[in-house]
Amino acid sequence: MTVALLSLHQVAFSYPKSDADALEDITFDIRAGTVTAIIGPNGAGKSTLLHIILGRHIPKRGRVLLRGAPLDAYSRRTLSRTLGLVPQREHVPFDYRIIEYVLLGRTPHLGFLATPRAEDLEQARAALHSLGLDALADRTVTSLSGGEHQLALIARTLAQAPQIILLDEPTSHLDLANKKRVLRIMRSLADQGMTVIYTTHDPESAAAIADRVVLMRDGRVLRHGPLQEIFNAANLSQTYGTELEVAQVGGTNVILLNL
Amino acid sequence: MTSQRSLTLAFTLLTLATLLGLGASIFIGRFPIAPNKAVETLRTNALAYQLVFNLRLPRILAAFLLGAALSASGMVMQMLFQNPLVEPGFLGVSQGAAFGAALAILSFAASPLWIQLSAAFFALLGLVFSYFLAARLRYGGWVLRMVLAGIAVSALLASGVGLLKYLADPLTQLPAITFWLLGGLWGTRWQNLLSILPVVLPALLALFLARWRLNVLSLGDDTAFSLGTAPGRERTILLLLSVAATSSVISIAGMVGWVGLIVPHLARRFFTANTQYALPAAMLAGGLFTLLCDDIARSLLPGEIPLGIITSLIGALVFAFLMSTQPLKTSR
Repeated sequence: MTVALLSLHQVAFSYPKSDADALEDITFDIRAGTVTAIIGPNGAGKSTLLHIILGRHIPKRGRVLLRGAPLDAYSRRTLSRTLGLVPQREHVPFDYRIIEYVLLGRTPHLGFLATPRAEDLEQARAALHSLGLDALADRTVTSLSGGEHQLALIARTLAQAPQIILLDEPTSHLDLANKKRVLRIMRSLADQGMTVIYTTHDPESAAAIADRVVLMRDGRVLRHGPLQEIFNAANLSQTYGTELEVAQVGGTNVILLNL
Repeated sequence: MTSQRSLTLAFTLLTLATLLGLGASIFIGRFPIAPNKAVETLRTNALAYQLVFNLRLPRILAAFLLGAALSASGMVMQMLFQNPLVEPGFLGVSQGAAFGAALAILSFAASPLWIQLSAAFFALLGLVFSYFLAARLRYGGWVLRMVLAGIAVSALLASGVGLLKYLADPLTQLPAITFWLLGGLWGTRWQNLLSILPVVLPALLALFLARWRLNVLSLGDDTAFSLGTAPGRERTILLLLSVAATSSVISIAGMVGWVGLIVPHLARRFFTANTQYALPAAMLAGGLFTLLCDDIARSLLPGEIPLGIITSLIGALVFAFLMSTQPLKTSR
């Protein structure tokens, strides 16, 4: 069996000044070129887990392995060229033009105090183009709608050219058209060989594109595995602590709230 | 980039205006020298020579450096705190300097160098207090805690300044304190200027070199981290550099307000939000703005007008104009 791209082994984490473990005994593997959805209710520790994978939080116990080696065996620079984050919210008080905003994604490929070169600008333009966002290039950040901002964030992460893209609740505040667009992009990135990992509290957005799901509750992994095996009423009801039903409509799983 | 050409044009114009401003300021003052007879006047008139080389020249350079340092520090702090309304002295630095200067005026018979040293020392002390208080606060994230601590420490030091003013001799010491608090460069000689150069120039150079990274840090810690920076460490270093530059120039100029707040806004408006361009533009524009204000301060009336009054007056007017002609943009 080949070495997993990412491998978490009995990871535990607690925030400073807090006794309670935010994460406990997290173990699962992620293979290259797959879409993994981390699903769970609010406060389950999904974002914390994403930041563990990013290397932003250091586990209290356990190991996170990237290609078989612990994260801290890699330099910050190498990690930032391998793992890209699309944050849930980004407070941008300065009105950058979108092309510059996307250009910031090239930072891991620049020298310590260097400014972007012509080739970086090309990469940024290519990233915008690949998402069909050429028209946004000269708009400014504050002029964007929520959906456009999310797409610009993804473009910036593509300009970063990582192998693994981490998205924190990428669709949670989008309308249906934008949600569909973002999910399609995420699926096609994985089909092109990128590894996609995202958190969501909405199981349906996982059902739409995920290869594998990780069900989380109270800082623990309840179940993980292929979507078809895991995504059922019993597991989801347990994850969310409320009675849910899953129905098949046209080959897609739909959640029924069962009120 | 489509606007690359207009940026180049804007930089060319700003540089020319700066050089013109520096040159013209030599001939402006209560002892006017006709530009066409400048060389002759300086050769034949010993008083003119003294005045230009020992008083006017260091003052012109100090004014430019003061503006450049305040504007650069203001922009850097706005980026680091992700808040466009932050100004360079807000972390207890300005009030610390004021307290230090007032204390020196009361205790050391107001020797200019002692005032400068004491102001710089207490400015840094203000920052240190703010920092440690922020570390102890149990409310909000890093940015909010620093802002709150800065407000508290500034208020504390301001009350100290009030007490010192109350204790001061109303005929000799109080006017000196008041004049210092209003800001100005009337006392600047070569020795004052040279004493701050070893701090201000390297600090400004380092901030200039870090100009792209400031963009990255302005996106917040999570993003900055994922883009390969070490947000905590880099932010601390850049913050220390801007406070060092700020407290140095405040120590020779007193409280010169508004420059560090308004010039970064102007620079962003004409040179985009990208610090790669906006930071050098803020340095040049801040230097030029303060220089011109100082020219007014020393030549408009027979007596000296405190520089801080001019910068605040013009700065506030420009600010009000800017904010009413362009919607104040805030992020979602």
